[in-house]
Amino acid sequence: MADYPLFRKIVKTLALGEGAKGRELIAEMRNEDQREYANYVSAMFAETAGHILDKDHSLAAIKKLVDEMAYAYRKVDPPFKPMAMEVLFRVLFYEGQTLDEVSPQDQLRFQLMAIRMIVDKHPEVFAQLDTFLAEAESLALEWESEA
Amino acid sequence: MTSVRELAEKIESDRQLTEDLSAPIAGIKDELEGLAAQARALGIERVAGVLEQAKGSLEEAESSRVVLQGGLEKARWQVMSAVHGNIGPGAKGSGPGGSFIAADGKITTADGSPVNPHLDAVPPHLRQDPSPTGDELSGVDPSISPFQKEHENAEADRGMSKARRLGRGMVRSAGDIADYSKQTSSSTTFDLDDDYDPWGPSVQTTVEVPTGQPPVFFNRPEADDIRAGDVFSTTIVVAAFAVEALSRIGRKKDNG
Repeated sequence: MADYPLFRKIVKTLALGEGAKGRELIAEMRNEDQREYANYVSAMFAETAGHILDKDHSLAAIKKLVDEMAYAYRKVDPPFKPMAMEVLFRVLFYEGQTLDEVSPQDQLRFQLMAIRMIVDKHPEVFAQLDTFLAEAESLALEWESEA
Repeated sequence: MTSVRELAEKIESDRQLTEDLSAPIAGIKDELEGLAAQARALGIERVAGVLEQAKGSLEEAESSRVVLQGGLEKARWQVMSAVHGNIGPGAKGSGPGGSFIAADGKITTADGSPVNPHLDAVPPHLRQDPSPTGDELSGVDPSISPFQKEHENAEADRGMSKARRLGRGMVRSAGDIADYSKQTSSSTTFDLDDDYDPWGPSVQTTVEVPTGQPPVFFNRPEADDIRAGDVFSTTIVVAAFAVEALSRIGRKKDNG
């Protein structure tokens, strides 16, 4: 059994932008847990993005969110990739969207960046962060059981 | 009464138009499906993706169309029940021998001919509550249009459940290697911590006011932003007009 309590702690610190603490926790992760951790991040991404795009997940709404991210992360290096981010959001709401164009590393990186911005900009997500983290765990376990 | 009948005919013709749209939508959908498959076979994933999305939009359009068609059917039914006064849950039957009709023959139809007291062709306001509000014509909460109401229920929490279901597409299964996760997450902490700056250059003077509206950096073509829903805008306007006109007629009749 992978260490989900640790996953929750890691993603929580990253979502709150506590980089130094996050790096310490990440170092504690067992190497064999890395795959399930990546899936847990995807689940948290689905929970948070699903929440804020629940009512309107039109392409226009997705583009607006991606533009917001492009601005918030304009200083990062290597640079933010808006098209890759858009693909990640589209996967959640549109059947048949392929992920082939986005490397696994970019998927993980941009999912974390999206989670961080959503938690920062949406007070209701921030206020219920622990609930979101717990829901993400249920979702990740559900995915694992079906994989 | 003639104008109400015209309205009913207009609604019926709109309903027919709406119904007729079903076939072309299905045709275009099939075509898009074929094109997407071809694009995928040719390895043009991006094109295939766009085509798939266009297909998705069309499916949403089709569901709007069905809702609209149902709404128009309902509207016509309501108009006709107002004309005849003999169908619908609120309508009273005239009873044996036309017991709700004054027997002196004063009630006439629009063209002045006497009304057969044994028929139901008597306006509802002469048979029922003398001061109806007009709401009985709409049959729904007047603050919400019937289309809006039905549509919103159909769309309830769709985004969230979709994200949970389709998010599985991102799952790395047991055989996949994810040995980058720790490294990638660690390096990403710098993006999240040091380089995350959602509000722009920090305010140096008290004069500057952050707008909170990030500028749009990416001037992308909108060609892939297909909105099949626009096809319906005209019909929807007609339908909205019909509903509005109906309630006006209802009010007018009450006042007069």
